[in-house]
Formats: sequence, structure tokens, C-alpha cells
Amino acid sequence: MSDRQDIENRIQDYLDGRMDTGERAAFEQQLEGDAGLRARVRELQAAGDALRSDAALPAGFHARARERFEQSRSPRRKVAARGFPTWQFAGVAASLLLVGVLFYPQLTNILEGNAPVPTASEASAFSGESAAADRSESFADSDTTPSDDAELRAGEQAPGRALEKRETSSKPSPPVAPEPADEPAPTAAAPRKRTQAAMAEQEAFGAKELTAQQAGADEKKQDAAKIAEPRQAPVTDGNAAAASGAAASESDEVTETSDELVESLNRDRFRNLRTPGMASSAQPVVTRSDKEAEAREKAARMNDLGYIQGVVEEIMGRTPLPAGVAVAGEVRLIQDEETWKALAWDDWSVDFSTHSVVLLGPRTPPLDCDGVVERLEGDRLTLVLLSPGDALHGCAIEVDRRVQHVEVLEP
Amino acid sequence: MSPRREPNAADGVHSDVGEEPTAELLARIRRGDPDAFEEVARREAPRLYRLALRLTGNPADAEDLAQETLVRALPKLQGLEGRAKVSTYLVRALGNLWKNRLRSRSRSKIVDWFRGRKGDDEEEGPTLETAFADPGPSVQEALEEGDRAEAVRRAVARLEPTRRWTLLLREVEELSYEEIAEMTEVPVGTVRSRLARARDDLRRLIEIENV
Repeated sequence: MSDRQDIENRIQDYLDGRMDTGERAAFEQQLEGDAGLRARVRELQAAGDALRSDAALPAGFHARARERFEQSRSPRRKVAARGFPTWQFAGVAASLLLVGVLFYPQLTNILEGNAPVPTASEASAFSGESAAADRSESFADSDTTPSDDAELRAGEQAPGRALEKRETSSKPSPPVAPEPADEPAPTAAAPRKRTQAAMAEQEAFGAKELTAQQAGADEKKQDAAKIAEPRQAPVTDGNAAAASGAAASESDEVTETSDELVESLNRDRFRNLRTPGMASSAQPVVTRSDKEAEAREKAARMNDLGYIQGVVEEIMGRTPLPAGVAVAGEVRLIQDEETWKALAWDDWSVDFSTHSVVLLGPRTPPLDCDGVVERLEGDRLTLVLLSPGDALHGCAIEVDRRVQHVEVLEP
Repeated sequence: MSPRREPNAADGVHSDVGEEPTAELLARIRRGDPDAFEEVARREAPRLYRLALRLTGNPADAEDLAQETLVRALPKLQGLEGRAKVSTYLVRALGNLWKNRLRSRSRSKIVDWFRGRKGDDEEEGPTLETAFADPGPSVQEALEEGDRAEAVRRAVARLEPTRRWTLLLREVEELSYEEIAEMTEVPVGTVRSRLARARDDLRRLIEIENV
């Protein structure tokens, strides 16, 4: 143990009353003859006194505390906290919204007067049903006519239109399957029944009536398509194109993520270390710039305090690492939570499923935590330390989990 | 010059000692009696607020932390005997609440730091103040005002959290090493080293701003 460390320990023992009578007397005698030591002890005592000095409660503290207590115990708040009424209301609202969306085309037609007026023969064919049901049947019938089949198949790709179909069939539409050439393509059993009945009815109708009915149905389908358009998912070709694009981007993933990671490593934090005008995204390797001297000076000042300069995702705070746990070239990569907790304060929550921690140890040789990312090659990260100084306690740097090897070079 | 004094009323430490919260009083708090809550809160709040103020370095945060400690911890108090245990329980609760806040806050703060903060600090690069910024004037500013005690308190608010907590448990709460070790669930040797480092850091923090 160095003399300095020994004296610091004795100061601490003295301040904290952990000396026996003999030791205290000897230390006080030493204090009398050592002005510097005496000043040091007085300084720490003054600091302690400053911390122990009373702090007056802010005006109204107790009233506010009481109010918070009462609020915390309020039965109404407890109910709200459970959230049942809120969710119930939200459920009702969502249901109403869904119904509104599903019936919007029909409502629009009704309001705009575009609903097909049932003919007398239709009325007789659907005797006993309400006018609304009549319109629905008519809509369902026209949806499943052979001429609309291809459009319906395309419509199956669109969620909005699929929803529309579900409304009429009262059950989800199955995926479009190849249909016999001589039969329409109903999407469910119920529509199929109605389709067959409707076809029979249509055969009985005159060509004029049928044309008029289909015209009305086509108009409704157009309206429905307009409604559904904003919610339409990309059609198959579009999906293929998107998938193709995704595959293309995936093929560049390694390159891109590497660039992105390096970019993120150096963004902001080491802005003043970059070469002016360097394209950040095109050049993943950070070189030390003309401003390095300034950064060194600043870093030295920081590191003299032992504070950490992180380089990757996050710094963990200055960690009380065991002395000599790591030196340049022998950094330690922690990849499990238990090890981390054993070495450092576990209150620094690290997600070890996505990140690791690089421990940079103190001293021997002087090693601080200020560095730049020299390069990232695959899973190997190289840091170059700046301004090695009297780093006190080492530090920890949170790195992306892809980093499997870390090399630290001294400048 | 003398070493650390024993706690006494003259220090303003434990000067608010009153009657122990009785089991009946604690039961009333659990039932939601605001009068019972206020009665105990009035006894415990001063020391909790002081500790919170030293921890956070900010009166608003300190009040919020102290009040939250009282509101959340007192209703859960039961079966504790003696004021010492009650106060220890509250101090521990305050520390846990603070650390929970700090955990989320420091993560977002530091990430913000790396991901680009707007303003002059960004151009200057990170400094101690930007990395561990707390509201209010800097240590340097406090020194310029000639208020060394205030400078000490602000410097403490910038200490690394673990050491700050350990130092305050020792200096403000005047807990023994063993009590601190029990409360922080670390060995006594760790308490000792944390205290040494905290004091060393504190001295450097003040000195470096004083140059």
C-alpha cells in the first residue's frame, strides 16, 4: 500500500471514528505537525458539516404530502387504477367504430340516395324481408355474379373489402380458391346459398332489370372500393416487390448495420474528433482529427476525475472495478448479468439479451475510458484510448451484442 | 480537531426525535387516516427531505422524493418496533425509490447525451456538467457566489450514484459501516472503499472547478 493510500485510509478512519484511542492520539499528533494533512482533514469535515446542515422543508410540504396520501388512498382512484370502466368504454367505442366502418358504404349509399330500389318482382321474391335486408341480399347477389368474380378475388387482397365481405357472410372469408368454371366464386356457404337463389331470380328477371341491378351493385362496389382504398394492403405484386426489396436490403444488412453501428458509436460524442467534412455514413472508420488535442485536454480533465467517456451505446457510470481487472489489450467483455452484478453496481440495468459490457480497468498502465472507435470489423471492435491519465476506477461501456471481441489500443 | 462526533441534537441530526409511531398509529395509516399519516410524516419528513435534497441536489425533486417515500412506505409499515427501525425503513425506501428513478432517468439522459443534444454543449463536446447535469448552477457558479457549503452539496449531487448514496448514509444519516453494509447489501470492505472514493472524488470535484 502506498503512503498516500495509507494516509487516506487513516484520514477516513479518523473521520469515521474507527480508530481506537491510541491510534487517534497518534494521528492527532501527526495532524499538529502536518499543515497539509490538517487542511485535508478540515476540508472533509467541512464537507460533512455542509451535508449535515439542516434543510428547511419547503412551505406547504405537509399539506401537499397529505394531499398525495389522500389521493393515493382514494377509492375512486383505485377503481380507475384497475381501469375497468375505461376499458369498458373503450370497448364500446371501438365496437361502434367498427360497425360504422363496416356499414359505411351502405349508409353512404342510403344517404346519397344511391341504394337500388327494389323492383316489384324483387319485393315479391324477397317477401317478408325488410327493405334493409333486401338491399343486403341484392348487394350480396351482385357481389357474387360471375362478372364480378375476378374483382372479388382481387378484393380478397384488400382488408377493407374483405371486411365488407365478412359483413355480408357473417364469417371470415376464406382464402380465394380455384372455382369451377361454370360456377361463381362464393366466399362462404351463406353467400353461396343466396347466390344460387339470386341467380335463379335473375334468370327469371328480364335482362333490363338484371342490368339495372348490376349497375347499382357496381356503383356500390366502386364506392366500397373508394372507402376501402386507404386501408388496402399492397396487392400481391406489391408484396412481391416489397419482399424483393426486403431481400435486397437484407443482403446488404451486414454492411449497413456495421456502418450504422459505427456511425452510432461516434455520433455526437466524438463529433469534435472527426475529420472535418468526412462523410459520416460513407466512412465507418473514425480517424483522429486536428481537434484531438483539444479533446485530449478535455478528456484528461474528465478522466482526472475518473468519470467515464462512453463510446458505444451507453456508459455505465464509473464502476468500482477491482484494481487491475483490465489493462490495455486485456479488456473484459461481460455478457451475463450475474457477472456484471458481481463486479459492479447492479442498479445499472443492462439488457444482456442485446448488449454486453466492456470493462476498462483502472491504472496499470494508466487506462481511462475515453476513446474513439478505431474500427469495427465484423464482430471485432477496436478502441483507441485517448489521454491516458490517472483514471481512478475504470469504467464500463455498453456495446451492441454483436460485438464479440474488443481490442483496446493505447494511442 | 476531533473525529466524527456522535449524533446529537446540536448537529441538527436526529433532532426531530419524538415519540415512536405506535402500532395503533401505523394501523390508522394503513386504513387511510390522513391525520395519522400527517402526524408521522411531520416527524420523519425533515430528515427524509434533507437526505433527498443531498441526493438529488434539487429542492423540487427532493420534495417529490421525500413525499413519495412517505406516501408509499408508511402505509406498508407494520410490526416495526422502535423509531430507529422506522427511520431505517424509510431511509431504505427512499434510497430504493431514488435508485429506481435514477435508473430510468440516467439511461435516458445519457442516451440523449450521445444521440445529440441541441445547444452549445453539443458543440463543445461532453463535459462533466453535460454528462451528469443536474438542474441549477454549476459548482463553479456556486463557488463564485462564495458559498462553499453549497458547492459541496452540488458536488455531492454529481458523485457517482453508488458512492453518493454511501457517502450520504455515512455523513448525513451517520450510519456505521456495518449499518450501511446491511442497507446496501455489500460487504463492509466495499462500504469502506466506496466512502474513500467518494471523498476523493468530492475533493477533486471541488478542486477542479476551483482552478
